[in-house]
Amino acid sequence: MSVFNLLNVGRSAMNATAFGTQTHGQNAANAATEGYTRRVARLQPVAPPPPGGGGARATGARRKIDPYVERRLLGARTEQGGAEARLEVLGGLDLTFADESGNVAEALAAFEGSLRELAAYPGDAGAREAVLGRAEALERAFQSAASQLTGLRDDANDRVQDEVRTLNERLERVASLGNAIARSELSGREASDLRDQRDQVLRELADQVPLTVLPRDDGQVTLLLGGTLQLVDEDGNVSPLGTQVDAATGDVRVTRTVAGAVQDITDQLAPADGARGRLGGTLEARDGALAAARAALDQLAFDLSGAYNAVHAAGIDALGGTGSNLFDPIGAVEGAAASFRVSADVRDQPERLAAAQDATALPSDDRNALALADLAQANTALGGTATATEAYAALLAQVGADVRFARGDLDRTGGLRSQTEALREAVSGVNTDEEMVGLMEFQRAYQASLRVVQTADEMLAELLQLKR
Amino acid sequence: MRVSDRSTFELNRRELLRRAEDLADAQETALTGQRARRPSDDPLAFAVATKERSREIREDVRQRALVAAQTRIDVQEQSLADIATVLRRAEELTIQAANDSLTAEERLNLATEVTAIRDTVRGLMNAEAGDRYVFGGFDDDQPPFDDTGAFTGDLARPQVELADGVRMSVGVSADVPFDTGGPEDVLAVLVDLEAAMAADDEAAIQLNLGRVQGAHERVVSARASLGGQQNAIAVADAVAERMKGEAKVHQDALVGADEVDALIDFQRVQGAYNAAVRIAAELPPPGLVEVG
Repeated sequence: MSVFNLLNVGRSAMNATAFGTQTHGQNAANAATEGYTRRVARLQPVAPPPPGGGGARATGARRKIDPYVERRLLGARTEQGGAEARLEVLGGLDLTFADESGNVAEALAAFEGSLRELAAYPGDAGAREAVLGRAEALERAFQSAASQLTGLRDDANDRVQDEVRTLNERLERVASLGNAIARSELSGREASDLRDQRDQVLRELADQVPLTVLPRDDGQVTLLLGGTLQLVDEDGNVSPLGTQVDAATGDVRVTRTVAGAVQDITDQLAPADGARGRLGGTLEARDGALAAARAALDQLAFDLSGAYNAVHAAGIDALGGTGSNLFDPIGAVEGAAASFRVSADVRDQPERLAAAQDATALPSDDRNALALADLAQANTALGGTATATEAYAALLAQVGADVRFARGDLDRTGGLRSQTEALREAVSGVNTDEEMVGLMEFQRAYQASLRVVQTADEMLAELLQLKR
Repeated sequence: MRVSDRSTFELNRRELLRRAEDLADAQETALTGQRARRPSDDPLAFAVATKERSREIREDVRQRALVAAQTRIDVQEQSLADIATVLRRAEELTIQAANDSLTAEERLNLATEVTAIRDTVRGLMNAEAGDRYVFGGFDDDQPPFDDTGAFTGDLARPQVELADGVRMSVGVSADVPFDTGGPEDVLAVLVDLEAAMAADDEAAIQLNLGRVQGAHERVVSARASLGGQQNAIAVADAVAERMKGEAKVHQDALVGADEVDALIDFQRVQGAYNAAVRIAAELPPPGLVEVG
C-alpha cells in the first residue's frame, strides 16, 4: 500500500462522513416537516478495495420506512376521516334540536294548551286568537327545523362535491409524482423527497376514501378505491370521480366513468360496515341519520296536520261554516315539515275555528274544541302508536344517539390513528437528540479521516525530507 | 419505542386540545346548570326531559284554566250569597206586608223597597269575573239579564279539565238558582210581589210569600252545590301544582347539573388543563441541541 493510497482513504472517508453529517443535518432540519421520512446515510467500504483498503464511500440515503405500518396508517386515517366527516355533518343536527326556545315540542305543547283554553271558552275571541297564534308558532317551529335540516343536507352535498374535487386533484398529483419518481430513479438519482411527497398525498387521499396502494418496481403505484375500483392505473392514468345531482331528491351522487358509461358508485362509498373515509362518512351521515331525522320530522308534521284537519273539518265554526282545515293539507310525507302551515281557511280569521259540532247550539257548543284538545293525548303519530310529543321525543332520542355514536366513533378512530401515527413516527420520525448523536458520530469520523490525511501528509513530508 | 420530536409535540397538541375541550364543557355546565344541553349529551335523558317539559306546560295551562274556573265559581258563589241575603229581606218584607194591620200606604212603601231589592238582585245576577258575566253561559260577553229582567244568555256551562280526560262543568247555569222563565223566576217573583204590595192586595202578597221563600231556597241550594266544585278544583289545582313541580324536578334530574358537582368538576378539569399548559410551556425538554 502506498502513502498516496492512504491519502485516498482519508479523502474518501472525509467525503463519506461529510455526506453522513449532511444526512443527519437534513433530518434535523425536517424534524417538524409533516410527512418527512428520516434518512439513514448508506456508507460502505470502497469496493473492490485496493490492498490495505480503499476507504469509505456513501451510496445514498435510505428512507427509514415500514411498509406495513404505512399501510395500517392509511387504513386508520380512512376510518378516522369517515368518523370526522360524519360528526361534522351530524354535529349540526345536534345543534338544530338543542335549541329549547321555539322548538317543535315547546310550540306543540303551547298549541295544545291553547286548544284546551278554547274548549273552556269556545266563543271567546281572545281564546280563538290565541289558538291561531300558537298554531302559527308551531308552523314556524316546523319550518325552522325543516329549513335547518335542509341546510345541513345542502352543506353535506357541498362537502361531497368538495371532497370529489380535491380527491381528483390528489389523484393527478399522485400520478404526476409517480412519473417523476420513475424518471428520477431510472436515471439513478435519489427520489426520497418525491416519495415523501407522494406518501403524504396518499395519506391525504386515504383520509377521503378507502385506498389500496399497489407499489410497482419502477416507482409508480396503482391506486384502487375500496380494493376494486381503479383510480390510478399502472401507467399513471387517472380515472377521476364525478358528481351528479339526483333530480328527484336533490342529493349529489358520486359517479365514475368506465368505457364511456357513467356508473353511480355512491352506495359503494358508504357501505354499511367498513372504513369509509371523509367522502363515505359524509354520504353515510347525509343518507343515514340526517335523512332519518328529516323523515321523522316530516312524518310528524304530516301526522299532526292530518289529525287536526280531520277533526277540525268535521266541526262547525262560529259563523256556522264547516269543512275547513286548520292546517294546509299535505299531500306527501316528504317535505311535510317545510309545508306545515296554518290553513288559509282560518288564518287571520279566528271566527273560522271550528269549536262546535252543532250549528243550532252556537256559540255554546264546545264539543269540537274539546275533540281538538283531546288530540294532545291521542296516538296520532308513528302509525297511531304515540302522541305527537312522544314522537318528537323519540326523534330527539334517535338524533342524540346517532350523534353520540358518531362522537364515540371519532374518539375511537382518532385514538387508533394516533397510535398508528406514533408507530410510524417510531420508525420514520426524527428525534433531534438522535440526530445530534449522529452528527457527533460523523463529526468524529470526519476528524479521524482528517487525521488520516494529516498522517499521510506527514509521512510524505518525511519521505521528501529523506531526499535532501 | 423510539419517540420522535413530532410524536412528542403531537401528543402535547392533542392533549392540550382535548383538555381545553373538557374545560369548555365543564365551564358551560357550571354556567348553565345543565348537564345535557344537546340531544347527544344524554339522548334518553334529553328526550324524556322534553316530554317532561311538555307535561309542565300542560299542567301550567291546566292550572290557568282551573284558576279561571275557580274565579268564576267564587264570583257566582258570592253573588248567590248576596242574592240570598237580599231575598231573605224580601221574605221579611213579604211577611210584614202580609200583616192585615198595615195600611195601603205602608204597603206601598214596602213595595218601593222590593223594587230596590229587585234592582239589586238583577245587578248581582249580572255579576262579572273579569270581563265575563258568570251567569251568561258561553254567551258571557254581555249582561245576561236585560233591564226588563229577561234572560239573554245561554244555559251552557264551560268545562274545566281536572285531570287528563276528566272534565267538570263549571259553576251553575242561570236557570238553576234563578229558575229563569219558570214559576220561581226570581225577578218575576219580585215583580209580582212589588205589584201586589203596590196594589195593597193582601191575598196576592200571601200567595207570593211561598214563591219568595222558594226562590230563596233555590238560590241557597245552588250556592251550596258550588262548594263541591270548589273542593274539586282545589284538589285538581293541588295535583296540577304537584305534577308541574314533579315535571320540573324530573327535568332537573335528567338534564340539570348539581351545582357543587359542576364546580368540583370544573376545578378538576381546570387543574388538568393547567398541568397540560405547564408541560407544554416546558417543551421541548432540554436536549443535546441545547447542551451542544
